[in-house]
Amino acid sequence: MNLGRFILNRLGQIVITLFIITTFLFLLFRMMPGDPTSMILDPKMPPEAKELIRKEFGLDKPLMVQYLYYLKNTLTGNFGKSFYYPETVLEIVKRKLPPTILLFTTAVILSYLIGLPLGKTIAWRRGSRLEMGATVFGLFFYTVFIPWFGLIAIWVFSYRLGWFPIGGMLTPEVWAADVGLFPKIWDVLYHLILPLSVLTLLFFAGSMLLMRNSMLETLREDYILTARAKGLPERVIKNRHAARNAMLPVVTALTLSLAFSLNGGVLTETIFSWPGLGKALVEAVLNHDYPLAQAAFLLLAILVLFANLLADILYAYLDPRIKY
Amino acid sequence: MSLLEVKNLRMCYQTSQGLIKAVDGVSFEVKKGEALGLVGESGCGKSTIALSIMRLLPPNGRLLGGEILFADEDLLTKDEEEMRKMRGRRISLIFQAALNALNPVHRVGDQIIEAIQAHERMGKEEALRRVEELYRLVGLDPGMMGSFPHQYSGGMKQRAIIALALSCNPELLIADEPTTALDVIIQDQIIKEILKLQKEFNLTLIYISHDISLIAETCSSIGIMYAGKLVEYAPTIALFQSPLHPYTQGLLSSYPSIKGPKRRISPIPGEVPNLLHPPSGCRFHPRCPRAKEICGKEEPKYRRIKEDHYIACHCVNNSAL
Repeated sequence: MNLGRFILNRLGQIVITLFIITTFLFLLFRMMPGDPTSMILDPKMPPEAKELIRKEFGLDKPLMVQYLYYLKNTLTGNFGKSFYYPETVLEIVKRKLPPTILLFTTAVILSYLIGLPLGKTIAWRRGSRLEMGATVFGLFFYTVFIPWFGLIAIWVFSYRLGWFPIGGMLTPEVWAADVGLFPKIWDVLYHLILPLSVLTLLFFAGSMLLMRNSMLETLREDYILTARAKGLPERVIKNRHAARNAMLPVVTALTLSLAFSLNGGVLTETIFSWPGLGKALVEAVLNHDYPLAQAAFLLLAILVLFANLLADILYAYLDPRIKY
Repeated sequence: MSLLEVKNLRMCYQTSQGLIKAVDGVSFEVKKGEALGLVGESGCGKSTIALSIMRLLPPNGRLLGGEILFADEDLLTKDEEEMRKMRGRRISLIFQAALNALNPVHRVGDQIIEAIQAHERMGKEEALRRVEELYRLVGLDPGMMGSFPHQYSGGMKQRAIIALALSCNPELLIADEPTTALDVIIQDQIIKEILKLQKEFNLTLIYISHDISLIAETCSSIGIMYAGKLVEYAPTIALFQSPLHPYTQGLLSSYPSIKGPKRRISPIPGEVPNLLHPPSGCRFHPRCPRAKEICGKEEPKYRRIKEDHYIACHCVNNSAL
């Protein structure tokens, strides 16, 4: 089928785009003011020791040689060794990615699960009190500043009420003890509830308002009038004709949100002491930890490119007018 | 016996600038098996009448008064669920801009099956056979049932819409500018199709158009609308032979005729009035060549003047006939 060729074509484009991005990333970090060694080296160190460390990370080599090393590391998939942590980049990502997915991706999925039906309903019942309420409620959380809201939530629910832990993802004692799997899962969930609720609240308005607008647009279409003139029940008009067509633009937003969610969020992670990728990424940039920063941004680029591809494929499935 | 009787229907749209009186005191009836044409310029309230009968007015549409009797039941007092069961089953609507009237993401055949199953308990197989039959009836290849609307041409889409409208054997078919978006040749084919089906099924038809020549071909009687009012109503032949209302006369002389003596086309001067603030008295008087003093003051009564000939005009009186 043509779809197979389309995907192959797009994969080719993705490879080229990624090559350009990797090169760009490499140059970008080296153009930044400052030097990676200044972060890990003690200024009182003798110059010979400095040189030794520079040598160890390959920073004494010409830029072109560094670039080739970088390409080799990227292609073999281990992304080199972190300048800052005593691990390879791959190990760091492997350690940080699961908590990020657990919190951020779950929050995105939950917010869409809530936002889509709600957006559909309030568009259908335009002008009702429910629409007013949901829109105001949604806009409030949409515009609220994450750290402020997160801190308030921690203060109320964790500090004053004591329902949830102050931060972190797990209690070390529980995980150190030999208690079996179930208490450990419960422990993570216990830590997860507050940040997950906060993030979902902050995210859902986006999907709700998007769905609402898209739905309002489809409701003006002629085929909705046809559906009414056919004598279809309201529920069928709403779901099979209006919402089905209104889904199209929302799908793109969803795939991109999912891609971005894998990079976490530095502010949220800081407030809730969540061991995610977002904070690691910002720290890597501040620390001139080139390998880690490059890898993290490359990961983001890969995810966005594939999310776009996924959106295109879904489009072809959802809209028969689109053929590749 | 009349199947549909519209009595003193008054309808308006609520806008930020005020009420637009789209339909103001319109009365007419359609006999069973008859084809009535409604003619008028854009914005004269033709489509609003169609939507009022279907009770499908937009949210800002307000009913001010009147009755719409369909088989002796007032449609305006029915609740939403009773009305839903009427739509598509007993009254069908083919409306303007039919090129977007089919949902682009569903197969055309499925969209017709859906309409059938909304009204009749029928299995998929049986419904499929019914759609196949309908496709042949309107001159479409049943092999196209599984295709999507974008794979249809404009004329094919309109045929599919007609098949859809006829899918539950309605008693009344309202066609609101069904051929506006089509080219002249397809237009002609579609009109012939509608006429053929109307005769075949003894359908009662209300055909709405701005094109009086199209209406002349299709309908046995014609209602002429102007600015939300019915100004003249007569059998087609009578209307063409002796139009009485100055607006009808203007309308007929603004079309070229192929037969008959050569003459200049004389358009009606002026513009359609703004329905937010319609002119006082007869709404046509600012443009009327025969306007008298009374026309600007008093609204002319819509009255019967001859057998089956109705008119609302001060300048035409029974003695003049």
